[in-house]
Amino acid sequence: MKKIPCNERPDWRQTAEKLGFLFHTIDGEAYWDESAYYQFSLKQIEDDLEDPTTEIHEMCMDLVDRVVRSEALLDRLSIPPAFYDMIRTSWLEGHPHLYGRLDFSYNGQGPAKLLELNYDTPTSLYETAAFQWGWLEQNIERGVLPRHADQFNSIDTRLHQAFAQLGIERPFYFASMKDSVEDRATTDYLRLIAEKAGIESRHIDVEDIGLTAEGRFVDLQDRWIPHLFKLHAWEFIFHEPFGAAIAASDTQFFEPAWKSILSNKGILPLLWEAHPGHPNLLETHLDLHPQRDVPKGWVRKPFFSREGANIELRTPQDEVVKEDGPYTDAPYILQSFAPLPRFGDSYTLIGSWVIGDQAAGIGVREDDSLITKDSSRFLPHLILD
Amino acid sequence: MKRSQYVQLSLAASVALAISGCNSEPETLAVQQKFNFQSVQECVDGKIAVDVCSDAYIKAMAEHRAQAPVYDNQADCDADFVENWCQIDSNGKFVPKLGGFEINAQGAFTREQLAAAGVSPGAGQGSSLSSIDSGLLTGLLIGNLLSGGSRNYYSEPVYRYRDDRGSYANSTLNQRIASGSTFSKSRQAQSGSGFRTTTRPMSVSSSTSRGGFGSQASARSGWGGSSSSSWSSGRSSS
Repeated sequence: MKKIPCNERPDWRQTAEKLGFLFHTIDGEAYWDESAYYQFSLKQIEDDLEDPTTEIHEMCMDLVDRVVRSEALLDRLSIPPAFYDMIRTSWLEGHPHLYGRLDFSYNGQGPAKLLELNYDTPTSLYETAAFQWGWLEQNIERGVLPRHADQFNSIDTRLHQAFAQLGIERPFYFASMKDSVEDRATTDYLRLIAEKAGIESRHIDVEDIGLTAEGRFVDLQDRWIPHLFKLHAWEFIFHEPFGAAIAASDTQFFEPAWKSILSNKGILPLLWEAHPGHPNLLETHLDLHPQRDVPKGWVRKPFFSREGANIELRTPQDEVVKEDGPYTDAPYILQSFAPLPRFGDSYTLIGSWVIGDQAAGIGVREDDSLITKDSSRFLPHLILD
Repeated sequence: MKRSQYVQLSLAASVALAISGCNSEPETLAVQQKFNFQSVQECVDGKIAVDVCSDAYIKAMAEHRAQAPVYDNQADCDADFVENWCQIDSNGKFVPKLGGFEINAQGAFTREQLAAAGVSPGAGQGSSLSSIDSGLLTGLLIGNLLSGGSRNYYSEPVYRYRDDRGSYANSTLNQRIASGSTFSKSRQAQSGSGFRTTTRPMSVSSSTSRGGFGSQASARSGWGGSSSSSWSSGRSSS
């Protein structure tokens, strides 16, 4: 695993804008950054990232099966009791899921360490599956990169397969929050794939979804929403007015309700308890004393947090790094500190995607700090031996 | 090969779909107005389509049969309405005569439609206008009554009564209840926990609620980070 400086394609910004990838630059700061790329060997990809991703995914599925059958475990995850039945049913009836992302700390040597799971509302999907792919293809075409360069990235192909297998015949609605360009790119990209699979797709903003007096979810024209992909976290939905209407409704939700178990950092101590000492897991416990200082060599994370918010860590050298944020109302975990590897001035995080139930590709993000946030940059990668 | 053979890169295709498709709804303002008539003829004379008038009358009559207050004697009925206004029904009880019907017309119009009709709500007007006394708006609503069919209105029975000062007036039961009448001598009130009507607005706008998703994410958005921006602040995902 190496970081290799590289000339940017002179026309990449025009290309991005023409394609509809509009958030390549955020507040004048690069988000998409092709001034360098990460190079992996095939062995690093397959042995250190792909196989562990598949294995952890299977461990997670086993854990969901245990959690849905145990009110004690659901309670430990701070899931409101009113939703136990809905979550259990969604799992026992096998409601299909589409995607998830595992975030790893990995430096090219030794086992990748799982930092967290984004199994409900992961983004950075378009730039990983599509724009990164186009970067490699174009650079090979232009003779900048060798013909035998490859990329761990079959996300697009796997998504096509996953949508085709759903067998959906009625309209499939894709919902994202109003005014979020990034979220909208994720749902628009998924819509494209759904359309290719012969599914009629429609966009709706999360805030515009309607609920009729009969308890049916409808669009702005009061048309029934039979299938709904919601880029909106279950843990929010549980505390929103329409949450209670879902179980009795006739709308199929993506991701399904059982994903709420895995999008919750409370799952990490359970994973560790089920597989103590697993080389790809970090020792993690419930934080019983969140008011105390974080111990040296540990990281405190809230059960529910996004974009690095409310995370606090203390390095073994007693350096404290802390991100403020709005997620202060849930329990916390303490996770053994696995520093992100440093390449130049940047700290690097690997996002490893699971589509359907298969490891499908990676995206690399960099941040200037040990906590990866929404200000991080996305760099392309390739496989070359 | 560990990458996809081919990837369709353009998000613009689905963006174009969104713009041309039916899901880019223009913002609309909700408008409602009530029309009160004593007969179908009066309704038709008011420039409302005859189909709408007769449908509204039939619905009001059905409501009247279902929920008009019923009294054991004429005096109690007269006291709640007008002397000699009540009739004996087939069970020998006393009920007020139907005095007419009220059409509650509703519509949602874009600013362009309102402007074309000469109505110009200010920006601070919010998303709802109601009971605006404007002939222009009335014309717009009357047109809307026909095009939207029964989804754009509901009707209620109207009864004659004497108000606090002894003047004669026409009103729906719901309006009477809202202004304090309890119809306490009616059989319905005597037999249960008070007199109630069951009139439910049939309009789409009032039976579908919205905004029940998204509030939690919005509550947590706008959290200031050094890189927060107008679009990233609305993120609900990771």
